[in-house]
Amino acid sequence: MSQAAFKVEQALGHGDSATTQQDVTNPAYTKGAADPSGEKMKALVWMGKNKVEVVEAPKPTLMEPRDVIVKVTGSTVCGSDLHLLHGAVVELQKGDILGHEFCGIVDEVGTEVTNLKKGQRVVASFQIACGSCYYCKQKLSSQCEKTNANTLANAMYGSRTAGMFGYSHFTGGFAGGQAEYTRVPYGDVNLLPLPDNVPDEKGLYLSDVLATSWHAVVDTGVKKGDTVAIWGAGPIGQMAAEFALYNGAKRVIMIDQNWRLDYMKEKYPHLDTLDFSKLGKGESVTSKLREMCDNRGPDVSIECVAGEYAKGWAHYFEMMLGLETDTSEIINEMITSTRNFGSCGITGVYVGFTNHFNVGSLMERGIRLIGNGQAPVHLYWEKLLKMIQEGKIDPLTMVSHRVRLEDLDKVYYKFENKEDGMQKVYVQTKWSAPPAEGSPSLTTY
Amino acid sequence: MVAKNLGAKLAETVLGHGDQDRATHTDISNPDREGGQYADLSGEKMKAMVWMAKNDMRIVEASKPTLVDDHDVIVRVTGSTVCGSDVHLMHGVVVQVEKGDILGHEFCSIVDTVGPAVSHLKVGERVVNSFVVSCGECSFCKQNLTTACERTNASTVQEMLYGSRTGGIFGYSHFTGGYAGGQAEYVRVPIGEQSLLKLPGSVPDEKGLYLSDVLPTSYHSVSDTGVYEGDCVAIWGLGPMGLMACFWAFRKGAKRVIDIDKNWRTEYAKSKIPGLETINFSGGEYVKSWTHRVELSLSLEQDISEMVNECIMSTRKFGRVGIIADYTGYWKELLQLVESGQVDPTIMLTHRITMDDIAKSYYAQEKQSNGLVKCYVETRFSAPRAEGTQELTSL
Repeated sequence: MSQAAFKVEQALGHGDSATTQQDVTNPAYTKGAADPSGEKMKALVWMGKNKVEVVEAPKPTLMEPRDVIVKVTGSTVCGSDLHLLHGAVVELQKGDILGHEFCGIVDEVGTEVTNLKKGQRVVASFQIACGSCYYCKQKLSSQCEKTNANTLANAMYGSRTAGMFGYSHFTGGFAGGQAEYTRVPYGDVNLLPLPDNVPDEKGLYLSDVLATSWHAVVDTGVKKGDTVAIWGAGPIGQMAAEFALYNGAKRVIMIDQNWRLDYMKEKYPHLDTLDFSKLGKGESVTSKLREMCDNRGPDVSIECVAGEYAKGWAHYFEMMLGLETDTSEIINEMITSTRNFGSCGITGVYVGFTNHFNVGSLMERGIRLIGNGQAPVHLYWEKLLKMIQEGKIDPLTMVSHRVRLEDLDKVYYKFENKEDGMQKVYVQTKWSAPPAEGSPSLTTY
Repeated sequence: MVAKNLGAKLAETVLGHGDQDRATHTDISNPDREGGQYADLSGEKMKAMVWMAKNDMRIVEASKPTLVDDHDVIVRVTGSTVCGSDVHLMHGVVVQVEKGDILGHEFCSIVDTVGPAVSHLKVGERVVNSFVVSCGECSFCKQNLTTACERTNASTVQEMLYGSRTGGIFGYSHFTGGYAGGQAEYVRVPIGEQSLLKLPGSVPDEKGLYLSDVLPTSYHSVSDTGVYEGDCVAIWGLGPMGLMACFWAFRKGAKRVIDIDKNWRTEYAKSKIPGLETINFSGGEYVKSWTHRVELSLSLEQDISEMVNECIMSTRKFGRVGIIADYTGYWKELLQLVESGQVDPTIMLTHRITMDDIAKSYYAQEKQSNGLVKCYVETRFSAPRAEGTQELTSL
């Protein structure tokens, strides 16, 4: 389905709104994309539904005057990469290099890049922004109008998001950072220099997790004294909990199951948890949250789960039969649990359409339902970098494993199955510095 | 639909009402229910508009209601109207409506009798209701979020469907507390001092009536969704709500207001709101005249289903979409605006009718026929027609 969708895209043609080249997802497949030296590199590519592989690919070369080639020293895997693995995000092609979170060292700069030098340590934002359009001027980099010309996305959504690294042709088709080198279009805008006192193991997560979880909290609107419920105790949910407290929440309740809740309790003893797999007969997440919150429900709810995972059979079958692309179960749970006139934020990835949405509960009870959107990293990353420097946040609280790029395909499957207590990984390459203090030691597979 | 309605009633019977901590007697949707114990002892009768079955609306004779709780007020109705949302009741789409329920949640009136706990309202005073029944004391009421009142609605079915209940609403089925409504000659108003607003002599009924619902709800939709100076606003629907929302959007500083609807409603709206742009989507014109994406700052709409998707897709990224909800926290502010002439609710008033024609007006509203936007329903208690307002007509 994913590959067929891209064939349709190719037949329809892109719009002409993009100002940077689209669909360069592996230097091997695009003329002029491979480094003339012929140097090769390792890269993690999508090979079909549920199949990723570490392969050899050509090192990328500069293609546009504002490009930067980054030598990757660290990357990771995202929950949203799993949607790619599953083929839930359309328009992937065999051989597409994945990965939208990476840090590294500037290796080459295009002729128009004046603010970066070879050898500088940098982290990339997961989105590719041009820096000068209507949205970029407001630092809403995730909605840049110039970096994604995808026609299908435009038709489905009304308008497109910005281009993204390693996230299929649906988002512009850019080779990702789960590799040894990555070409960064508009590198002068999309790379943030990392100071010496911020090691890669912390700086890396400015690419996505830290900005996304921070944005979820401030965009949904957590106020001082609020009780906040968060669905999904993955890295995003975990950091959202921290940031909710940082922004004045009186109480945070995490909803999940199995070791993830134990992990949370161990890191944050003052958090409340709700194990949805252990509810009693006649109980629901909604009834339990009501009970826990003055018979009223939390003030703010944030969903960090995604639409891909059906809880019950009805939605499981509907998705399988293509009657919907996302389940509405978690969103409905959020809506019915939240107190009247409260706010709900959707941060987990949803891609298309859903059935059985409880619009009655939303409308009658005045629930604010906010699509948090792909987070505008550029709006927050300087501030978040400062918070890391000042020790106000420590991204290492979510990093459970250090792994090698060579093992990344195996890691995808372990991450998907939530094995080994794998919360978030740090992926080293042959260019990486030795592990920084506080980061986990290497695990090989 | 009917089966679902009956099913809901059964479910409620099995589940039981939420009896805890109600601020008033709920579910007296007609004074003649439960053996007539809620009927006035004088035996006086009144005309009332009741729901008899799906699409079967009738004027019947009912008993005048009596005081039940100490804070009740009985009012003599001088004007009421029909709402777009009443049409949903007619269709049986709102579960828990029962045969014989008196409808109507917008009415202006004169105080007839007051309960012993009522001190700030006197017999003979002119008042308008709020469509919501609220206690004034719970944590939501204290924040003026009266539609979220926790103590005026005991519907268990609503609680199960939505997660928690809304406050009670006049004439809107047992789903929202089962209160008898104002499309009648008398109404029992629970918690009268909270639910009624006094109308000054300078505000005629034909204007004051719409403080019950249309004015605060349309104002809230604009205020809550957030319209700021310079915004470009799109509004779906040009019934009374949409029309007034256009007015408020301009008042809040919108640079452009675009309303989307079909047939004669777009022309009517443009004649009442200077500067309004419209898209008339009937007959495929919508597709023809909208070939490029319009950047819209925010969208307001009022008719759910596929329109929500249309709103979402049309709005610019990181923009705002509002689905009109109910709210009445703005009463005093809005009364002042009506009094000073800064807002004229009669821009939506197209017909004045008697109670005998209420049923017909439901169908006219449903079919958007007769050029009906909003009506004023007079009763035998009404004052003479205010100057400048519609003359009496029949449908």
